[in-house]
Amino acid sequence: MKQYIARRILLAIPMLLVVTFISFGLIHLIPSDPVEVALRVNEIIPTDEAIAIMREELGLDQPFFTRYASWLKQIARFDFGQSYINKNRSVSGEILRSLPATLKLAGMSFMIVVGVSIPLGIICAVYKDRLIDRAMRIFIFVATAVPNYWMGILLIWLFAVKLKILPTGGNQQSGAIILPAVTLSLTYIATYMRLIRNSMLENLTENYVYYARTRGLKEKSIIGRHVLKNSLHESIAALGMSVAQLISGTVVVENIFSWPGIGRLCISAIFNRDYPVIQAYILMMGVLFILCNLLADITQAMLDPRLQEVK
Amino acid sequence: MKFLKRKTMVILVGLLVMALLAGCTGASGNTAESQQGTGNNEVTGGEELQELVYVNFRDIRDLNPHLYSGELFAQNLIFEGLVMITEEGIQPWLAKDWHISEDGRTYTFDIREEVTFSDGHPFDAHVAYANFQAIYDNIERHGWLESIRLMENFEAVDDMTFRITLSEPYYPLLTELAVTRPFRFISPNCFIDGTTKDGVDGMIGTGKYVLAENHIDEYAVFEINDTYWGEKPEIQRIVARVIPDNQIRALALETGEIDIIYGTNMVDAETYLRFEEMPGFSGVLSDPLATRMMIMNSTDAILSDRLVRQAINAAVNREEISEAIFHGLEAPAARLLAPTVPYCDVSLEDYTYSLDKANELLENAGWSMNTATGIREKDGKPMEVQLHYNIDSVTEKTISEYMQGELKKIGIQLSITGEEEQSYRDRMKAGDFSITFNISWGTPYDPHSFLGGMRMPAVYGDYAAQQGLEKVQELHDNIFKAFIATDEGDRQQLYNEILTYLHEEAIYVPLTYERNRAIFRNGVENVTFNPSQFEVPLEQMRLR
Amino acid sequence: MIRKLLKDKVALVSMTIIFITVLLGIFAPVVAPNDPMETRIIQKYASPDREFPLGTDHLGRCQLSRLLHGIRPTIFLSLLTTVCTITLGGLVGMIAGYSKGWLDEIIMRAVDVMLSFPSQVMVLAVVGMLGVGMRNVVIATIAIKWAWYARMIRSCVKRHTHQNYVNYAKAVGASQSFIIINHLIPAVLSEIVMLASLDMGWVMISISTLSFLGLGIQPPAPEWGAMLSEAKNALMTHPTQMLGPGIALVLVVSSFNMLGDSLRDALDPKEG
Repeated sequence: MKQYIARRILLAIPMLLVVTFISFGLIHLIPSDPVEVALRVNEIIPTDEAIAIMREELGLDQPFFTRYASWLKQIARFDFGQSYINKNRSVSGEILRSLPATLKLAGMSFMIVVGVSIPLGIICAVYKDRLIDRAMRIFIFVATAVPNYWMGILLIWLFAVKLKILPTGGNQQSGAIILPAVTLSLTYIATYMRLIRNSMLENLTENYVYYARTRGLKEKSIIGRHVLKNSLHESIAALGMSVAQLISGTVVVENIFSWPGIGRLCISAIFNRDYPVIQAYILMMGVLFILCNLLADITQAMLDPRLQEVK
Repeated sequence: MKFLKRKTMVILVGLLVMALLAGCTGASGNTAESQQGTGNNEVTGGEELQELVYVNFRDIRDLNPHLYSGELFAQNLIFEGLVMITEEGIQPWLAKDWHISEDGRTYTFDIREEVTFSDGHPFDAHVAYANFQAIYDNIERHGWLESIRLMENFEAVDDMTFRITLSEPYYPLLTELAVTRPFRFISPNCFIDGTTKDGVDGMIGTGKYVLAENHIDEYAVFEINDTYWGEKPEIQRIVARVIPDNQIRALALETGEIDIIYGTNMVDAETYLRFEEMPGFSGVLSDPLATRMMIMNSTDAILSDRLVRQAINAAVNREEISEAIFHGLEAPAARLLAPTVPYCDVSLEDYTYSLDKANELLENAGWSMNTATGIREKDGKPMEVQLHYNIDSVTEKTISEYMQGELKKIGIQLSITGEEEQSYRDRMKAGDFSITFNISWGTPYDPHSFLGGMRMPAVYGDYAAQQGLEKVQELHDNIFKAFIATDEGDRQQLYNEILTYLHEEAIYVPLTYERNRAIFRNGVENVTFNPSQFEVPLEQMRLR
Repeated sequence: MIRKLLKDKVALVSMTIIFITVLLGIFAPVVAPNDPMETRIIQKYASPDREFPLGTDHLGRCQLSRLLHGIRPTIFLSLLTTVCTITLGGLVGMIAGYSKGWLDEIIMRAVDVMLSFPSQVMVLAVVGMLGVGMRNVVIATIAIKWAWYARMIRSCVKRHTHQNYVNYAKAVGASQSFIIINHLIPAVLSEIVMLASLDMGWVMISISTLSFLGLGIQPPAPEWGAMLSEAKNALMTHPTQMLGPGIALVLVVSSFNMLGDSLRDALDPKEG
């Protein structure tokens, strides 16, 4: 077990390197010259002289691997350089500025997801094929089928325009977080509700449940002590991954609700071709996913001894 | 399977309730930290604070008045120039008076006394000199600005006298000094290494408001400048919120989150009319101020033919655009600049809508109809043209789609692509387009700033689009000659030639005469328009 | 399995919906009452009547006709994407799952790297670099998504190779290709079909989201996401514009989801 975990962590290191390489290399696939972009966003006419100066200023006159190496050194110090759009703002500053809002939104959504999907998943499993299960089944299908952006706009229309009880967006008024958090969590609620329901149902058919029943244990204690525990164990890994997904999933929601987080930072960077910001965003998300993956794999391995034997 | 026991049920329901509560507490926990910037007329210490919530589609960004990457409305609140443009023409501002030498080359300004920056630094001719020097340090960034290239010298003659000497008698100088940027003054305390070209350290001006805080991409707060030298505005606090989406902006106005939406590209005609009729809200329209148009690139393979450009101009039903897209708010524009614009009352034959004429012109140009595809062809190549538009503008997409349907009628396949403001502008400057949208600068800049901009690469798309014209050099020379002509008759003659040439070459497709507009909740008063479409006179507004 | 599926009412309903939608998409030019591209700007935002059963949009184009023609890019391109993704991902996953050892290790690390980027953001970034347009959206989606299938199918193959009947086949000396063709592919195939129908919904939403953001299909071609983006611009004045394409999208996506779910139930020997 320890060996597996150690091996898994060691494997994550080259993966992190590959992720840095991809985020660095991605920028070199763009059709336009970043120097010219940097000049234009600063409204300088791209004369040959200005291009040469800017190229040197941005360090783009060095060979690829030299730049990659020095970039790695930089990011190790959490220095992603300066934004092209606002030369007086550092990229890491921009990310740190918008990260709290995204974390708040993702955290809130996570709480909603956990708080809603677990109880509802249990209820559905227990009352399988009864009215509430069928109703929830319909809810699940609809919720996973509704595009985020459509749901967001419908919610705005209903709660902000018609009922006028919640603000349309931004992060200033009380209750502003409710609509984006609900929009963001809806899909995940459905996913995890189904996950927990199915996992419980699967566990209910396991031998130990029959055994417990034949031993005459009460249904309540079978479900509460054994089935629920096992099902939650199985779902924890998936829930862990959902944190990363929630954070990256904020992109569309943040844009609809003018939520000042990194999702919006990234989209406006894409539109403004602010490459250092896009680069930092992709890198951060990659690292986040790798870490979550790692944790999920380790938890899963701890819970399922069969997986260890697989070399 | 048996039913769940009631107790378990209670626990589950409890969990659900907790989740909901978590949602609510999390939300209310959020209010404490940033309660400012909401509601109006907040009560502080028994006094009523007059607060206006304004909205913009993006962050105010870098407000350095000597550069171009900040939002104009914010720069206008903070920074002031030597002179200002009003309906009545050029008026004194930080210069209380000025004299122009006989030869039109020397301008001497008397600086207003007892003006200080909001950090306490006094404003005088030396500060003006330092600011001009800082602007001059960055001369390559001011491509559109003719006056800076013509400046032979500028100096502080004494503490309160500032003099500019030009190499040519350039008549639009005062207008260019009055424009929001770059000739506005920032406190020397904000300079970095004695200049502003690499950024500034603080946004301290002499204006009516000071920038109190900015939460990037959320909102900025402007507070009244207590040490302002002149009459102070009534509104003490302006909160400028950022809402990128057009519909959400309108919703926010309807729900009372914001007080006013201002600007042509911020409100579409439908929304304007809806709020104008809605109880509790009002709308105002400015006089027509600029020409909304499209520009065709004369270096494009298909559009390099003048006949094709004329055909496209004939295929535009301006009346229908005015009626159906703008609901009559904007009048159709049959020529590049309205006859009411100075020097522009030139006798020209207006562009008129006639599909027959358009078809005939295209036939003459050698484009014959392929009846199978419905698209014209020449030498086996289909007639396909690209149109780029700005997705941040509320009407350009509609016009683009409309044009797509209309040009199909004369056998032109128009493919349209929307881009975000920044990329769109970059594309224009680089000349990397076939057809794109364009706008004249509006009063009081028209015609000279609009025409002057054509001479300079990388200002708007004009320069690049005109490169395929046969007499482009002569055109640009004529524009410059008109600027420095000292005789009114000569100047008019030059303008006649310029406008006639542009009209005949038909590289512009005028659509409508744009009108600025604002919608706001009742209670906001004195919503007016400055002559410039880029300014928002927030400082003039009042709250009831 | 098919018989089991036909007994399931939910599966039947969703299959019917998908079937009808696909038929409508194929015969859109025949079924649609009007030309979906023809603009009549004077008649914009017309209410439903005999000529325009669902009214018209901001340019006076027939909503129903656009909805019907919109089936083609929305569903057919999603199908194309899914098929390509599965072929690529399935192949890689099978190779990895069956070969084990260093090849498996290399492939899975590559897959891990692909999966370590948030797919939504990566598709956005790739489209941003390749340029906007439907073709690039499809390419970007395939490029990002194959890894997901590769991982699922690999673990599926792994699971089956450890099962007794495969062990038995190995024990009695069956050849590798025999095991793959006779045991693994049939076992994996049904799971692939289930995964694909579950994933179709995701792909449809993803493609329509990009069109909604203006990065996918270009006007005037009708597509549901793009139609919703246009409807969004009239949210205040004509909120009903949101309904048609939105409901259609939800209906079809949930049909695919339900079908996938029923398939899963049908495949699961434990439930019955």
